[in-house]
Amino acid sequence: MPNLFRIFKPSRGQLILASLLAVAFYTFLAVQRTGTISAPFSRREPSAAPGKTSNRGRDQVSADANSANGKKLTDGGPPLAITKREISSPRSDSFAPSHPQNPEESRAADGESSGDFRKRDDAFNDPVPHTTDDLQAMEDFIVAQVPQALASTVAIRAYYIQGSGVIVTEDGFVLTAAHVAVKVGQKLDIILADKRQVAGETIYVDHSRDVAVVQLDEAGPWPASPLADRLKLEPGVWCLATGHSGGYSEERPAVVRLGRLIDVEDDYLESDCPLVGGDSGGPLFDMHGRVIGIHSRIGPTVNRNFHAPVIQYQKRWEEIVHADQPQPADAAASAPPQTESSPAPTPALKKPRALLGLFAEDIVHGCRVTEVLAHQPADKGGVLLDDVILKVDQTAILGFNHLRDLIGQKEPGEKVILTIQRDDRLIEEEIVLGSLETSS
Amino acid sequence: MNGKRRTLAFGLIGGIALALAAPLAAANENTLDPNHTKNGAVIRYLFTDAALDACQSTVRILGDGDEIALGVVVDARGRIITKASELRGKIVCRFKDGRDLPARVLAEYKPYDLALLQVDASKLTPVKWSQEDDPPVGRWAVTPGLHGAPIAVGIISVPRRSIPVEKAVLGVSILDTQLGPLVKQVIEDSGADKAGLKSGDRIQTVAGKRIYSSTHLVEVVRGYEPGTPVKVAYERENNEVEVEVILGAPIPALLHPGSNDDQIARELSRRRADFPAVLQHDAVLQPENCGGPLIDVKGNVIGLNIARAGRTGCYAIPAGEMPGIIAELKKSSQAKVSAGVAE
Repeated sequence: MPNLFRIFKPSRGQLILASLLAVAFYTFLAVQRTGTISAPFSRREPSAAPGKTSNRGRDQVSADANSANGKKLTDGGPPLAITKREISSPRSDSFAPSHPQNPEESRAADGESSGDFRKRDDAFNDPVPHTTDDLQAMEDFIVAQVPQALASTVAIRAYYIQGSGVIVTEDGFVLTAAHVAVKVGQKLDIILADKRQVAGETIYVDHSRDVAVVQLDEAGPWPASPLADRLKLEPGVWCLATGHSGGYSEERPAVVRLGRLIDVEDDYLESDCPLVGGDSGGPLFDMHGRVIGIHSRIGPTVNRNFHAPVIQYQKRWEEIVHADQPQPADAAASAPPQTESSPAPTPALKKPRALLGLFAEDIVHGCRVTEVLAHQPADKGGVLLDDVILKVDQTAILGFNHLRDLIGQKEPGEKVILTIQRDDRLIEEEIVLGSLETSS
Repeated sequence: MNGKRRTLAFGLIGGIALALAAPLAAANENTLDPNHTKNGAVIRYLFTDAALDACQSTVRILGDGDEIALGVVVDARGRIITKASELRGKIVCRFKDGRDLPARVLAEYKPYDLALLQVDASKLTPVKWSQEDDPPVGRWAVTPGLHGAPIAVGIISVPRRSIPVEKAVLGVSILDTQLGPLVKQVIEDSGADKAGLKSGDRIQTVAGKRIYSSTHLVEVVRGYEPGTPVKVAYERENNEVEVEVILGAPIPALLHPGSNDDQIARELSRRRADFPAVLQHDAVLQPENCGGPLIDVKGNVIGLNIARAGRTGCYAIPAGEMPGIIAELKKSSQAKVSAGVAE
């Protein structure tokens, strides 16, 4: 090493040049690499073009539902419009912001080989953009999408709940997170981008995936964003997140954030869009303005957050929304189709089941104890009649069934900490769980 | 000639060395290469050209040797503005060319939490504030450092708005007991945490007022703004201790039941509210990287980063506000000089 430096004696300028070259070379390699090995954006044409049949004009949702059965989720075409890109994306003023709002048009572009729309989103389809022109083109695309994304993003409120959601049909179906919509029949206040407040009701909840559907009480047409159809989502897809970070504020519209998908799994998407409380239930859009996910959880760092994929959810969309007739009550009654595809985390029956020893009724922010079984764990731990159970081991309780589920995942003998509201005080009780099998 | 060839040879060796390292460093094929995330090295590198001009007018502010903020050169004769509430200790400005120059505070402008500094230098490159209207939501919003690739890349998230005063918190959750309010949990990195409060401490007084319950505590603390130091007396193992706690801002609601509070509230600016007008962008800036310029993809300086406001965003003072603010700062510094206050 000393010899090397004696030969070259690099000056500051040389070092800077060297590092610049290195980074450029690295970038080049990274592009090569991702293009060939990890292939986040493989350049093959959509071979079978599954879902191509969906072409039902503006009825986006039913089109989505129709094409949702089958294998499209695994063997669909590339994520967005893919083509061999030119060295620098020519900027064209004929680009119209209506593109992202018109999924049919963008879908049509997917299969064919040209179109000004495609050139514009080239930069999104490469592993990384290449030039300042690419960045500028991306920006134009993002800015054009924002109005539609914001128009369909809503705030959802009920008592202590502060969440977000997205309108996905003109007749007023709103997708949100299960932990925002709480339970079927829950009444919610929905606040639109134009500050209109509308009543809504939860008609479907899937806590295992953290997605839910809320129906607006008034007939539309509402400003809706389409659900993503037959997308093969892969790490690297650019996305926009909207939501009412920290809760709704009249002075501030929903907050828009940019990111990329980091990880794509069957039951979650991970992105680097920064999220915070209040964003829950809000939409994650692809660069065509289509909803690909619903904000669910924050991750270990600011730039790692989790979304429920809506693709999972499309399988059930028809059952929920187009069930016989969109009579919300009926839909609710026939709604629980959790059976077919969700391996619900029910505890195995063989092992001894944990027992808390109380009954409770659902109230909006937890459950109120209606009966404490004498000499059972809850009783021994000091739980009283009319206590409101808010949390189990820091997990907020959505109702008695939720409490039972959580306890069901524990072992007899395990300790749990209940957060309880008693009168106006918050208290915590540690309770050693008993066993259902040996209690009676 | 010879020198040039050496430069090239050295560059190539460097390039090859990194090229060899690249495949090793590459991420798991099933997840996105960390260098390719929105704030990854490769994406930030693409904004290097855009940041070139703004870098010339950016300075690093040190307080007692620690990086505490960035600053912006506002005239050629050594005047720099930066975020006032982060300033502490002996202030030094570090320039792009490596010079470290001691600085003194000429004036402060409270509404925007800005300070005007003076260093002994001339021929500095003053910043050129964008003359354009506020950028629309979705525009790139990039935070340059002193050199090379910018510190952070994001987009404009919320158009211009004012940020009201925040209510202060101590940073504890309280269990009401018959013996008075008991600290149940101390939120990591909160004022209470930094002052040494621990779970189990019995709160006696806050700011000299006897505290009877959790509700009462909230009432008392809310009378202050975040950033205010207050005396807190507590009892631990039969000893009464008094400490000074710097009040913080409330922690936003959790995204999902079961997430930890302490994942959220870290690394926010001390003062992050009560601004007349800000743009919000979604870059994740450390507090010590606030105080410098915010640029767009063309390199226009569209604002000055004034606070990391929350987990998801930063505030920037819109460029259009800056000339007026700087005029105010200069005016009050002159007033001080003529009154014999400065120096």
